[in-house]
Amino acid sequence: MNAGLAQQHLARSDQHAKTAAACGAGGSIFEWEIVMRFYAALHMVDAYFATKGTTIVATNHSERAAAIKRLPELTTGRGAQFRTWYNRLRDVSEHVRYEPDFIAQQTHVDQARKDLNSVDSYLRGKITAVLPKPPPTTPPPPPPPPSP
Amino acid sequence: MMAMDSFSSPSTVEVVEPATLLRRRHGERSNAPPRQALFASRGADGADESAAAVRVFVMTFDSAATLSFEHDQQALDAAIARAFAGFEHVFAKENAETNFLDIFVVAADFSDDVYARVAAAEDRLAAEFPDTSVDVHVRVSDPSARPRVPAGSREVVRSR
Repeated sequence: MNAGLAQQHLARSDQHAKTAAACGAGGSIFEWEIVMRFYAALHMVDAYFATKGTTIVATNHSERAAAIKRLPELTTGRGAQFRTWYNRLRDVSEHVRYEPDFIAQQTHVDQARKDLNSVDSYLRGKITAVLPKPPPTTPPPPPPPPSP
Repeated sequence: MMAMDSFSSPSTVEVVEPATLLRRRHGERSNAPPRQALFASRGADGADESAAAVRVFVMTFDSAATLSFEHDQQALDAAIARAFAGFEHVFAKENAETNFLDIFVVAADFSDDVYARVAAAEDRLAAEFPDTSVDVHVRVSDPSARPRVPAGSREVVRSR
């Protein structure tokens, strides 16, 4: 496991999710909200890969798809749904980026939000469960009593 | 010793410098052995993850090593056609950049049903060509129902 790499990918995923929310605020930039949501999911997947015994680093989308297929927890049972959530985010995001006449609709954005939430809730717990816990924060010492 | 819980039985695990990996990918593609460098791992031993000390583990899997572009394309296309029958249009494209077979299916929408059909089709294709690394993309029809043809691909299924 590469805990540092997993934490970095998690942080990047959170960053992209925040950017996505900002893009979509007020229904302004649907297309980029979808793209950012896909990349938030991608970093979540990469964070999960980094928690494996042999860290998997996928350097392109095809490798990532192939790596997903090799992990039973991402392909069978609820994992089969995971593949749908992730692949749909990827496919819609590809349409947004590469198909100039594709206009993202509210339904696409709503679906992207749902899919990212599903990916997040499926993977985040698995990732954080194996990451080392941060040291407990000790409260600051009380201020000294006022001198008489 | 690295744990190998994620993948079963890689045929080889090779440690190379990142620069070597990049050269293989980009500079020496024509001379590189096919189907290598599918997965790389860095810092797997957790020793030193700084950029200068990153080691790249290149694993070559037998299962991933056999999608050579010398396969019997007719047989593969026939298997794709059987597996993906029911989709309006299916395109296939060997991706020399990634060494994957990209399949593009044209569907009406991005519904759960479409993705369930894609997954079933992938399973059927994998049963016939178990060693083929396939990446399936869903494309929706445009308003005039013209299929979106990915550059360099060939149409394998056309049902209307």
